[in-house]
Amino acid sequence: MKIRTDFVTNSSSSSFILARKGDLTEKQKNIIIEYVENEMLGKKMLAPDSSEEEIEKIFEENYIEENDQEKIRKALKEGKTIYSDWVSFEGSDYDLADMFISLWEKLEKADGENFETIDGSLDY
Amino acid sequence: MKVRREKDFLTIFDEKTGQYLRTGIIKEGKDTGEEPFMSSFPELLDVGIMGHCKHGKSRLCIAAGVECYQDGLHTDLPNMKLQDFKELVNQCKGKTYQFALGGCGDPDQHEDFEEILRLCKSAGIVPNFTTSGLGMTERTAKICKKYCGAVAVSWYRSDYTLNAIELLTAAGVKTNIHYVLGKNTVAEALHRLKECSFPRGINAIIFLLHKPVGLGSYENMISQDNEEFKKVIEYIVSEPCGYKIGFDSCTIPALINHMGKINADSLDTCEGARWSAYITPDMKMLPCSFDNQERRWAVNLRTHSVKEAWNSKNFEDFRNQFRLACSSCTERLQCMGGCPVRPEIVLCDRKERCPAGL
Repeated sequence: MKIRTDFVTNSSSSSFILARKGDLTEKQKNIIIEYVENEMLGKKMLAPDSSEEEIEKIFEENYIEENDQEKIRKALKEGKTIYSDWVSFEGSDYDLADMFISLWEKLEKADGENFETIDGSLDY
Repeated sequence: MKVRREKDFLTIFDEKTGQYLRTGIIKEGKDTGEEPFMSSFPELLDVGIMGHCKHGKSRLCIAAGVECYQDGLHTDLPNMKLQDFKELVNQCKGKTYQFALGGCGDPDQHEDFEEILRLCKSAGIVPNFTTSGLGMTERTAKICKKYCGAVAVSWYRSDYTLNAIELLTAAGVKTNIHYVLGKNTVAEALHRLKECSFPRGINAIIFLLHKPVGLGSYENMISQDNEEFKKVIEYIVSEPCGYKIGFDSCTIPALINHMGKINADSLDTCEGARWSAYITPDMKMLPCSFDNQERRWAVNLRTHSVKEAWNSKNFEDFRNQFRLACSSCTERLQCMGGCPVRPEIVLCDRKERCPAGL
């Protein structure tokens, strides 16, 4: 795992900034990865070893367009796993707020020693 | 926050703070701890929008003791055209997190500076840049505040340096100082760190290792036995400063040999052709800006896309320098042999050291 705590301003091709205080703990980093994986990157739909029958079924059930079907088949052949989900834009302000609050709670639960939500209210 | 899913790892970038996190290789939902080697497209592009430099031509660089690696005294190319920059933005939209604007000269003096920043922002790419500070105005500082993640002022020890820092910090811009560490400047660095005499209000000091490129002389290179350099690192890792401290990744081998309390997760060795690349004002893509004179690994973006350049033989050859270097060293994966452009700057005297090709 690599972390960088700020923007890159230098004109050589790369840079990092030392974080000397307040780093996330390993446990918290794993929570973030888990959270992003579970909540923001979709649910597993098809894998390279999925059968033709499974692929057809998923296409049918999810009303996947022909153009996307081709892309999915190509990705499967390249050994990629296909993930999918949907995002509601109705009341998205609330969904977004929930997402933040949920992540803060998880981080605090993982290690309350260095992470504390002082004012987690997002009700303006 | 942007999340990019690669084949077997994730990267996360917060465009508001610049915070970046990259997982190890993930297998069956768990981070294996093994570091990924490269991304499928550059995450960071150093875009050399400047082809010539008023600051360099007026010899202010030399007067300040900084030997310009872009040879600002003699280089006289046109600046990057806005149309070329637009093309780069189009190709990088949704893929590249940040542009570090640079080249030979001060990006804030480019004729289309504001439009360049606006294009980045509208494409979701965070622009950052480095300037000498010569010509910085209140208006420019406000533009930076509107569009940039951070701005660095090179440490030229002049009134215009301090003035630019003041204008930028007053405008609320995250402002860094870029400090070139050479034989002639290392004692001053140590003194200023100890005396806390860098200007107040800055976000970070980024130390950049002097390289013998352009006007950079071999005589001014930091050597293995430079005691003051060792003291700078020792001081940084042991004493809290009122600002962040960074180094360019060219300094990684030295830091690995003097780890102290440094968090290993924050060390990333040369990212050239693995996570980042440089583009010249005349649209050549190179793994690193320090190849800007010799262009040994250049790919022409007039005939190839950024993606094609990234996947080119030239870039693969550069990556092979990392894959093949120092095979018996215990720190191989952290350091990968250091700089392929100028192996002589690598501050490591381990007997296992064996740069690729040597």
